[in-house]
Amino acid sequence: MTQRLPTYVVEARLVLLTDIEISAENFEDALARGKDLAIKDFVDIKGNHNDSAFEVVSVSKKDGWRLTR
Amino acid sequence: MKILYEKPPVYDRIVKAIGTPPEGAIYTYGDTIYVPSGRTPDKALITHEETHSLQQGNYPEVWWNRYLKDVEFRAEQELAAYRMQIEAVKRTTRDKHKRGAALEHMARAMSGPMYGNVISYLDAWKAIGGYA
Repeated sequence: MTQRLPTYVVEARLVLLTDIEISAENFEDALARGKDLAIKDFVDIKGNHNDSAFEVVSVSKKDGWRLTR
Repeated sequence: MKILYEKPPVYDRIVKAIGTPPEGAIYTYGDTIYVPSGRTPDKALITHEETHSLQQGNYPEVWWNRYLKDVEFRAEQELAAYRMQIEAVKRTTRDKHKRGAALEHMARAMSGPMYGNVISYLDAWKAIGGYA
């Protein structure tokens, strides 16, 4: 029993209300700082993605974070 | 392996023993992968479930009975499956960020409520990614 990997983004930038920005250069560090929110919210994103290399384009959520390329 | 987009035959017992699994959870019973969410699993996920199929052999019912009752057995079986899954991820990408994110997710899942919080996050991270 397992579950799907979360949608994660390396080439995109994640901008949270907490001003944590994720890019390819600081991905792991930023993800660690914003881990709970990032991982939690990545899980069921309905974005453009495939199973091997996720790409999320312009996803938004009411409580205020967005993903952009 | 066959893939059926429906709940596994042991679903109600899983809910009773461990709790309601996440919406995206997938399961193996014998040579069949059950995907209630309807979203086709990727190769790494299939590798994880293939490991469970091998573990179950010809006795999936016996395996599931023990899996649901024996916490240590459950943790051991899942760690073995996650180790195979991370190796499958490594075969699909050399990108350390993607590998790292995949490992983080697996460690979080392994240490989470889906399996009954059977191991700490750090121990899961080490056991899945640090064994090689």
